[in-house]
Order: sequence, then C-alpha cells, then structure tokens
Amino acid sequence: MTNLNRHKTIPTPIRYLINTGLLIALIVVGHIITEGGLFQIGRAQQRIIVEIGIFIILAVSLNLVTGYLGQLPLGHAGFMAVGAYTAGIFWTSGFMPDGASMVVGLILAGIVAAIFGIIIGIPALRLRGDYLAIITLGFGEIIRILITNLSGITGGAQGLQGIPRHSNFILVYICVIIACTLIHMLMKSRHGRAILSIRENEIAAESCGIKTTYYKVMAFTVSAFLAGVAGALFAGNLGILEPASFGFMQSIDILMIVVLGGMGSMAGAVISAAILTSLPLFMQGLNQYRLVIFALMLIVVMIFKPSGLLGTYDFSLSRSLERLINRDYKVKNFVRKLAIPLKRLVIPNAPGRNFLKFTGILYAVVSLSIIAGSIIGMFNIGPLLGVLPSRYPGAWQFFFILNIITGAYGLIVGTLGMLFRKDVGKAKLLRVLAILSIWLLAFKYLVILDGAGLLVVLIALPIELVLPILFKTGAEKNQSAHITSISEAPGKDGGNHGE
Amino acid sequence: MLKISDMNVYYGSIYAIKGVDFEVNEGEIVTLIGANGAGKSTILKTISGLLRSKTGSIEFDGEAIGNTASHTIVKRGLAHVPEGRRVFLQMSVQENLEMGNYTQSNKTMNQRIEQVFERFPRLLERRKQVAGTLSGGEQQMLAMGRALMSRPKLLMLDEPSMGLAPLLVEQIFDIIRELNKAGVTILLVEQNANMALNIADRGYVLETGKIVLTDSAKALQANDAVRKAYLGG
Amino acid sequence: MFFVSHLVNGLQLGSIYALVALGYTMVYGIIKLLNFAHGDFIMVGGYIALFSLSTTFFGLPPAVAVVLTIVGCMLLAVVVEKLAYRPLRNAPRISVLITAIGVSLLLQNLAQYFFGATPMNFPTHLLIPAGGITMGDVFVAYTPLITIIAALISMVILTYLVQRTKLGKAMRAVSEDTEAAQLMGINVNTIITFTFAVGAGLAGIGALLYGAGYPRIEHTLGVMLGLMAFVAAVVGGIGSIPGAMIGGFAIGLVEALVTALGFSEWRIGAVFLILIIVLMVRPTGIMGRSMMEKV
Repeated sequence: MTNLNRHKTIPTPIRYLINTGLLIALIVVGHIITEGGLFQIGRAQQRIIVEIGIFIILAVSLNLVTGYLGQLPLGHAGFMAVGAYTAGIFWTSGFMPDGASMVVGLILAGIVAAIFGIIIGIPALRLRGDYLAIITLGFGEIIRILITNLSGITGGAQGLQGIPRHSNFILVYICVIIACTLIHMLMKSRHGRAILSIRENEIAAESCGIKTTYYKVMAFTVSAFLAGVAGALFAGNLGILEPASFGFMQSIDILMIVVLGGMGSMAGAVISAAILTSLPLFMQGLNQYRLVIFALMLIVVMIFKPSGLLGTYDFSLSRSLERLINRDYKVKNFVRKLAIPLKRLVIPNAPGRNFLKFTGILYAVVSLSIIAGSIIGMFNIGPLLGVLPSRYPGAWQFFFILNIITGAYGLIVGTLGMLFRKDVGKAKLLRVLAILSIWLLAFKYLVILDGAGLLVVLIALPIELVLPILFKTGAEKNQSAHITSISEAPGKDGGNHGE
Repeated sequence: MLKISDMNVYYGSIYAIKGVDFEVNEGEIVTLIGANGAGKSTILKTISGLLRSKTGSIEFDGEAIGNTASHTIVKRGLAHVPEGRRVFLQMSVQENLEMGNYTQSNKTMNQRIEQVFERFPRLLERRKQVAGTLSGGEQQMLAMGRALMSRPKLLMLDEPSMGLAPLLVEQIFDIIRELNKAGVTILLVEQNANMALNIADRGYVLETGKIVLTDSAKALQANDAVRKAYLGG
Repeated sequence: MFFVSHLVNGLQLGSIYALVALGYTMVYGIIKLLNFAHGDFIMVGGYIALFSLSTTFFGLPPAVAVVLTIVGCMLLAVVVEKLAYRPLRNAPRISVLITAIGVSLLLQNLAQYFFGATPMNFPTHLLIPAGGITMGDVFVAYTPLITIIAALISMVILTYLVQRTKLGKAMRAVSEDTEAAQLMGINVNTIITFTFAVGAGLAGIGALLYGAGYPRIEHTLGVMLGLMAFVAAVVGGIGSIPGAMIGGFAIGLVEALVTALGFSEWRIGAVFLILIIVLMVRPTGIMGRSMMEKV
C-alpha cells in the first residue's frame, strides 16, 4: 500500500510536452544530419533515409491491423500501389502549382487508398483469419493486374515516369510523425481499446456490444490511408513507378518488418523498419542473399520468440522517466530480460548428455571459427596468413563486429549447452541450435570467406539439419507428445471443461 | 491398479489440481464427485496423458505413465471416454468403432464390434449412420462402445450422464455396472453424485482442486456434509 | 476442335491444380495450417525431376526419375514439418502462417542461389513420348492425356486411402478431433507427418506432370502455381478432399476459358474474382461444411 502513495506520476499535459520536445529534438537533429553537411550524405544515402521513413509508415500502418487488430492481411502493397500511382498521376498531370500540389497529392493518395480500403475491407473482414489472408492476397494481386493492364492511365508494365522528386527528409519526417501520432492517439482512445479487444476475442467483444465490423473496417481503412500516403512518398522518392514493385513480395517485406519488430509494438515496428531498410546500405555485396537471410530470420524468430523481437512492448518516454523518478528499475530485471533468449534454451527434462556435449562442442567450434574469420576479415590479416587476399572495404567493419558478437553468443550458448547437462531440454535445444547455426553460418560465412566459407556451409549445414532428426530418444518423443496435446484453459472453450 | 500421488496440474499460471492423491483398485468402481470447476475432468485428462502433472507420479498396473504419450497409455489398457462424448461426428458408427480398435489387431475387430452391438443394440440399427445424426444418448453409448474396443482394463468415464434424459442415464449406469461385473475397473467422474454413489464402491470428493473427503460410497451417501452439498440435503 | 483443345488445356491445368490443391487441403484439414510453402515443394520436385531426367545432368531412366521426384518431395515435406511447423503446434495461427511464408521464401531463394535465376528447360520427351491420339476430328497429345489420367488415378487412390484404410481413417479422425484421436491410441504426430508426406507425394506427381506440360522450370514456379492451387482448394472447400479435386478442375477450366475468350492477361484476375465471389457467397467453399465457432 505504501508503494501506491509514493509512486510519482507525471501528469498528462507534461507528458505531451515531453513527447513534443522529443520530436522537435529529433527533427532538428535529423535536419542537421541530412542537410547540414556534417556527415557526407550523398544523394543515394538521402534516398535511403527517405525510404526508411516510408517503410516506417508502412510498418506502423500494417502493425495497426496485424499487431493491434490481430488480423493478417497480405495485400498491403496494393494500397501502397494505389497511393503511389494516384500521387504519380496527379503530380505528373501538372494540375496544380508545385508547392500546393505536393501536399494535395499526398492527401489525395491517402484518400484514394482509403476508399480502396473500405471497398476491400467490408467484404474481406467478414471472414476469419486464414481466409482474410488469402482474400487480401487476391486483392493485392488484382490491384497489381489492374495497374498493369490499364496502361493508358498508368503506363502499364513499363511504368510511370517523370514524377517530380518531392520527397525530402522534412516531408517524410512530418508524415512519419503524423502517422505515428495518429495511430498512437487512436490506440489510446476507446476506439483503440475496442480494436485490442477484437484481437483478444472477437466473439466476446461482439457480445459486449462492440461493433466489430465497424472497427475492423475502420482500422483497415486507416491502415490503407497511411499506406497510400507512404506510396505517394515512395513515388516522390523514386521518380518512376512500375507495377512489379508492388507485388506479393512487397507485402511480405512489409509484413516481415512488422513481424520481426514485434506485432503490437509500434516502437518495434519503427526500429525494425529502420534496421531492415538500411541493411542494404551495409550489405552491398550481399543483395542476393538478402532474402535467404530474411527468410531464415523469420523462421527462427517465429520458433524462438513468436511475438517478435520487441513483442507487444510499446515504448513511452514518459513512462521510462516515471520509472527513473521512482527508482523503479532493477538492474537484475534488466539483465534477466536480456538473458531470456538464453534461458529459453534451458528447459527441464533431459537425458542424452553425451549427445548434448557433442552439439555443444560442435556449436562452440562453429562459433569460434566465425569469430576467427571475422577477425581475419576485419583486420585484413588474410594475406599474412596466406589465406585469402583482403578485399573487404572499411564499411564492412560493422559487419565483422556483428559477426564477432553473434559468434561469441553462439560460443556461450554452446558452452552452456555442454555445462547445463542437468537442466537442458535436449530436443528443443537441438532444434534451436540447429536453426541458429544455420542462420549464423549462412549469414556469416557467406559474408566473410566467400568461396571457402560456402564450402563449409554446404558441409556443415546438412549435418546440423540431420543430426537432431537422427538422435531421437524417449525424451524427445515425450516432449513432442506433450507439445501436441491441445489443452485449453478453463473458460476458453465453454461447456463444462473447467473441471 | 491405478495410483495417483501428488498430482499438481497448471493451466498456464492457473493452479487447477493441488496435490491430489488417490487410487483405484482392480475390479472397483471408484467415483470422483464434485461441483463444476472442481477439476474432475482435469484429473482424468492428466491420467490419460492429454495434460501433464508438474510433480508426483501416476502408476498404472505397476508402470509409471506420468510421462508417457496418450496413445501409448491407451495401448496399456487405460481408456478414457472424454467429457461431451467426443465421437467422430463425420464418421459412421461403424467407423467410430473401428477407430476405437486402432491399437488392437484387425483379426478380432469384427468379433468385438459385434459384441459392442450386442451390448448396445440401438447402435446396430444405426451402424452405417454418421455419428453426428445420433441422439445424445446414442452418442454416449457409441463413445463407451468405442472405448471398449481397445480392451481396457481400466475405463475412465467423464460425466456420462451429462445432457441425457433420466431414463437414459439409468440405462447407461446399468451398462456401467454390467461392464464392471465383466471385469472392467471403472473410474467414474460425475456431477450427478446420487447416481454415481449408487453404483460405486468408493468415492472421492473434489473441491477446487483438492480432495476433501474419501470413503466408501455408502458412507459418503450417509455423510451430512456430502448430502447438503451434492445430494440435495 | 477449338472448343475441345481449350477444354483439354483446362483439364490438363486443372489436373495439376487439383493434385496440388489436395496437398494444401489435406494439411489444412489436419492441422489448420495454410502451408504457403506447398507450391515451393513442387518447384523443388520440378528441379529434382529435371536433374534426374535431363541427359546433361544425370540422365536416369524415367521410372527412376519419377520415384526420385516423389520421394524427394515427401522427404522435403517431412523435414520442413519436423523443423519448422511442429515446434509451433500450439502457437497462434499468425505465427505459423508467417513461418510458412518464411519457409516458402527460403526455398525459393535457396533454389535461386543454387540453380540461378534463369529458367531451365524440362525434357518432356524423356518422360512422355511425343505425339498423341486422334479421335475422329480431334487430336489430343499424350502429355495432356497422361496428365489427366494420372491425376484421376492418383485421386482415386487417395480417396481409397482416406476412406478405406486404417491410416486414412486415422487421418480423418485426427482432422476432426485431435484429442479424441489421441485417446483412441493414435499417434497424432506420426499421422500428421504422414499427411504431409502424402500431400507432398501428390505434389511430386504434380511436379512431374507440370514439367511435362509446361517445360519451364524456375525458382518462382511455385508461387503462381501454389497460389492458383490454393485458390482451388479454398473454392472447393478447404479441408475437403473432393472439394480440392472439384476446385482444381474448376479453376483450371476457368483459366482456359478466359484465355480462350482472348483475355489471357486477366486470367489470374478472373480466378481471384471467382475466389472472392465464392468466399462472399459461401465462405466454406463448394464442398465445405459450415464451421461454427464456440466461444
């Protein structure tokens, strides 16, 4: 009880003030970085920064429908396309003088996309989860086909050209702010709570008098509006448009960003969008592997931490300040949260220590070689050792450091696997190890050692894939049996199950 | 035949079964009675392997089955007729019985199906009918017949009387008595405490996950507290 | 003649769609998962078939190639199921769907990485002889003929498997009520893996027939094929085996019809339009059963 009295809360108006202050600070910093000439920001980099902003908007708008509403629409790129082409056509038609047309074009793009959102949403949202996915996929494809075939207006497969480059940092930044603020305010309102309740249990929400269809369509439309605006910015960034860039793959890209960042976490979506969009900047040689890596990451994250990296955590500066003021933080808790990935590997119930030792050793060895390879690459020691000529430019330093970090992580996990014999769940551990090592190997070796590394991957990968399947003992069988029994908590499925 | 020690079952973070011990001896009819939500179905599900107990042990016929998969438990001779019948609604009566025979050899299957039909003549009439079209009572008979196909030594029944007209309930309970006479040990979970205690040898009373009382069935029927709570005074 | 040739095209395409749709529907029926990667199993099968048959690679006799393809697809499906789907058995549906998408992308990009982005030519003549039969006015090549017949035979065998055999009935039991099936002594994991294997086996057959009829093998082969077959499964009623067969042929015929009428660029659009109409009017599909949700 005494805690309640002593807990100081920051009053709401001040919270608004803090957040506004933060945003202004960010825009000033951003402007200085991009236009101020402090860093060498070339045209290409500027375009990528704008692209980051665009994908942030796309991610948070999709997050509204997936993370908060709990649906899985697979046609988000369709709305982006609608917005992009609307803006593109509007801007190239020279309908309005430049200054005003920029803003009007954006708004128009959003509105048209929103209209499509309503048209598609009303029928589609009547359906349940899996069917919604298929049907939105279908709609996305239909939009793309429409664009391709109505070549009179849209330039068909060749695309639309000559779009004025309206998108600069300030414009994009303002749009990002508006998008995030809009969604934030929506979610904090009772509409937002209604949306969350639909995610939790739609039928229960209906029975509480919440008009589910209305809210679903509303969320969907807002999401479409923002996607349309993002599409317009996209058009203004690239200058040309072609229907191929708005296909199913684009929808999946956006979905991946949201999933990895955490469905239900706007902060997660923002961070994830920023990282994933800027990755090509660092990975210039690797574009061909990009999708393999992303696909693997997707699978690993789903198995490892299905709620995404940030889960449903939503960042709030005011809340963090409050915690600070009230000394409500414990270093132990913080460390424990960091260690969760490690902890997840440690599960009770497992015999088979020898085999565990073996994979632990294997894993530790793999990680050691990754670390070694990174150091070789980073410090150009290759030619000294007579291994490979050094041809890795300075920009890859970032990469090697990343590899060393994750290699070290793997080393620790491998060692722990060896040590924690009493407490480790063999089956799950093996599975995760196998998958993690696939990820690490594929990612790292392809980066560092080129030909030689690839050979290692080809040999090591199948071994690591096959081993867990071969070594199946009673523990794994029991564990699987346990996993397959679908036990529902009382009250979740009516009837008299609560016995 | 069945010995439960220190069973503790959680649904996520909800503590459902709190340190339960009981046993069923060969040839007995033992009943577990208690109110809605007490945890009776949970106990049966844990025994048959659909759920897991965090602690303790479950011994059937001398062997520990606490960590065994459900399908293996059935092979050992422990059949569970779940709450709500759970017959395969899309399959015919015949096919449901064939599914019950999954763990047994095909050679004796037809013979035993005939035996089931002898015991439940109503089912014979509906042999080719899809189970979804059967009435509640017929579905209950089908569920029991199906469980019998696996030649269980111990048969666990979860609320066989639920949703059935009183006359049918009597019929079902007669059949349970017959089965017991034929050598099947019965563990019966029931809300209808009256009927359950009428045919049982011993009983346990379960309240919010704990066993609060155990005695012979007759003694329970005479017990004041039990009468007030479950037998209508 | 015109009509017949388009009909035959439609049936040929429909046969392949039906075979693929069966795999989708069986997996959905048993674990309620829309296996996005199913189309990519076919792509892998196509490559296996190509490499086995083609004389520039292994040049194996067609019988061996057929077996390799089918077995290869089955193995792939089993591995994917054990590694990627089984750990997520109790996870929310969205997670599993996303993982399936991940697997699909992974397979496509691995294929692109290993086999390159340029399409390869499938040696149809090594599998099915050229030529055909003439019935009166009408000439039907062997390829479409064998495709349709092979598909029909596979479907008959599948129906027999599911309706008459113990394993097949166990599959139906697990689809209907997993817990009750467990209480029958059915090892649910084994049955699920078996279902994946059967679905993938059909996909393997589909891959061979696809390669024979449309000899362009590339890493994106699975995408459109999978999508169309997907639509077919849903239109026919996802979870229903006869539905998948009907849906497959229906979609194949629709595509052929639209192409025949001269609107070939719109054929995918037409198919999706049909999907949307069906989902609006009868969401559980042509043969689907009405599903009621308990609160």
